[in-house]
Amino acid sequence: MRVTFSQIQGSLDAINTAAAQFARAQQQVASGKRMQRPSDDPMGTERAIQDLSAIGTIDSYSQTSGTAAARLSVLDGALSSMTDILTDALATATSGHGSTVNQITRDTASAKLLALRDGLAGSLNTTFQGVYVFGGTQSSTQPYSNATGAWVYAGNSSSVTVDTSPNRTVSLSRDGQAIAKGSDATDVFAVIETLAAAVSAGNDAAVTTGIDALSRAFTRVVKAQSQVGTDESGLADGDVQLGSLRLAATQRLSGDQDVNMAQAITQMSRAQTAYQAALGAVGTASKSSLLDYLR
Amino acid sequence: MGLINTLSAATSGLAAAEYGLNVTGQNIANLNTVGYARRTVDFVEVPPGSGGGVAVAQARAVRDALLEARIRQQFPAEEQQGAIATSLAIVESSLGTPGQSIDGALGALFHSFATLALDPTSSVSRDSVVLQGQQLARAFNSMAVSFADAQRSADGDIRSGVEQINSLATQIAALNTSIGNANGADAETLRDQLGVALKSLSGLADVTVLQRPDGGADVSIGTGRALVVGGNTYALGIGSAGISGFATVTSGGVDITSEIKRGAVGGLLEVRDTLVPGYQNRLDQLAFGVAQQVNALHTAGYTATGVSGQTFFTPLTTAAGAAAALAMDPTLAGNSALVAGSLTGASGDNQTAKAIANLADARVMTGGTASMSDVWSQLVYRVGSDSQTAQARQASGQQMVDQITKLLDQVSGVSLDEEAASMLKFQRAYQANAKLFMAADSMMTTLMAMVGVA
Repeated sequence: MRVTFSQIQGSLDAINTAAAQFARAQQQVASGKRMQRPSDDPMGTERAIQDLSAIGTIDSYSQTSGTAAARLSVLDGALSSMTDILTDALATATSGHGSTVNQITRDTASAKLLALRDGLAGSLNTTFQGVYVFGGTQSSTQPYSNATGAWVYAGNSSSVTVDTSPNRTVSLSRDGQAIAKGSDATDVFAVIETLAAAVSAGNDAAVTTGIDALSRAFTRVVKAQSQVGTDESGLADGDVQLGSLRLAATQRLSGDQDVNMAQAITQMSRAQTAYQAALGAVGTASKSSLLDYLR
Repeated sequence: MGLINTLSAATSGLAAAEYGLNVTGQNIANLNTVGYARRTVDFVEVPPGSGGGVAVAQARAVRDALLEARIRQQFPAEEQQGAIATSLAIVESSLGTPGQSIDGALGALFHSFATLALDPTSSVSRDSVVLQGQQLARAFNSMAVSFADAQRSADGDIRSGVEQINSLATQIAALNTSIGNANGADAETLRDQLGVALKSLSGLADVTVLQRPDGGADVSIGTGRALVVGGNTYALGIGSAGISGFATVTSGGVDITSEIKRGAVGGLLEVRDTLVPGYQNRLDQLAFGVAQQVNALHTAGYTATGVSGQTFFTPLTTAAGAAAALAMDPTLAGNSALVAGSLTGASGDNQTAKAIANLADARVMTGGTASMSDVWSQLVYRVGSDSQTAQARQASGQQMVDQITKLLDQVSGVSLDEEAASMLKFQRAYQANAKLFMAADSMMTTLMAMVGVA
């Protein structure tokens, strides 16, 4: 084999290759990322995009879940106060009931019942950030109002639901009428008004009927509250699930995107050695020629 | 035979050694001349009957036609992949990093709808939906521009490539003429130049080289269309293709664009006519799908005030050009109250907003087999893997060319050690011949003295 001058020049390619490898390894170590552009690992890039999209979806669910939790606690609070009011109303009605009670007590009980009715209406008209939570999907209209002496429900029976995880849906609003009226002929406000009148008039039979109706309303509120409680605990479970899903996706993403530091640093020092060796080899090879020995 | 003959033989030896040293000098001087093939001197003996001594037969360039042809075969593929790799590197960089490109903008739009679903009456959420819709449309528009730019820049390179082909063809034709008219050593220099021109030409396009008996070369391009025949050039022309206005390559008025598959021009044609349009098509499909899906759900909904929903994106009729044309409906963009989040018309209903938010990971693209971010990731994968393949092929082609170049160098390259040895050889030969001359001369003097001439 003839070794020619241009072959020695050609070993510059070896230096370039070694330098390029070194630069690449160095960039990986410096940036901590395995891929600088899609062609470095097309499959890994594709997975990274999918992982990031999955993480985005999970984050969106988490945010929904957080807001839903706040909404549910508002519902919970409103239902608690309704329970209190109804308990109070039942006690008041009972105290104004019977032959031993005088008219003053009856009138006082009757007046208190009407005040409790207004409190109940206030609870059913609870808002969260300007949104009525007991109006079904009619969130911008006050659910219960008493314009012409009669209580009117302006909401509907639908409910606003949001997805808090891929297969979990939470209802953010309640049908106020289902709580206030349910399957009864009249809503709880009319029941209280009738009851107040009966208490005032000392009509025991009507008071008993009224107390029964009030008890049914109480049951409906407690049932609604237990549903909210179930939703709330479901949210907590869902958050744990979302957390572990996010962790898994982040780990997968990191596996695709991030460089294995130990490996990268080893590679970098290896590339550096190769670079120095290439430099040395070329330096030595082109140092001497026959011309040095001719005189 | 006599002393006179010896003198003339020594003289011829001196001349031969001098010639040899000359050629050695030429070799050393051209150590770094591209395309230079080293010369060797062929000496022939002059029979004693004809005066004796040595004569220079020729200074021959040491070439290997087979290896030169092999380089011309490998070079086009290497250059083709190199051109593809360079163009795609630019396309790749315009794709952005995962999560910060179209995929990020898509995610942000759907997330804004999810936020709207939480509070369908919020005007802040509505504004955010409009903003994200505009961002997404802009992301698609600028990606479409990047792809179009890549095509245009490839087109510009194709035009200049064709000009280079023509100028090389002219150069080759001129060299052919000179080689035909020249004789002897002059022609070798011309052949060196011809070799360089042919290699450059083969790097640009599919060319076939036919050696002429006189050492020149005829060149054809594509499927055997004449480019250079002897001293004549049949220059390529540049036409204009249809609506795009992209360059077509013509030879004698015939469109031969599809015949050029290799070389830098072949690679650029592949980028311009096959690869980038493929990416563009996928991007258009995605943009079209997004507009269709979002509009379908949005028009079925109602705004917070119970007004029937209008189109979210300006309706597109075909997928072709969708990415460049994607825009938010101007009326909606100017009034975020027109964003529809309700399906029933009730202000608090969020079913439309929720349905649009759920498009984020719904398999609604390519016949229900892929989600929108899947389509995007597949596009990125396609560009990445095309670029990776081109880089790998270019590297292996480069290695092949390097190997053959090394082999050719072993034959034709100048070795300094060898030239140093030749130098010594000719120097010694010169000294020996001079010595011989002196010896013969002194014998002659002796002889002359005997006869009393001196």
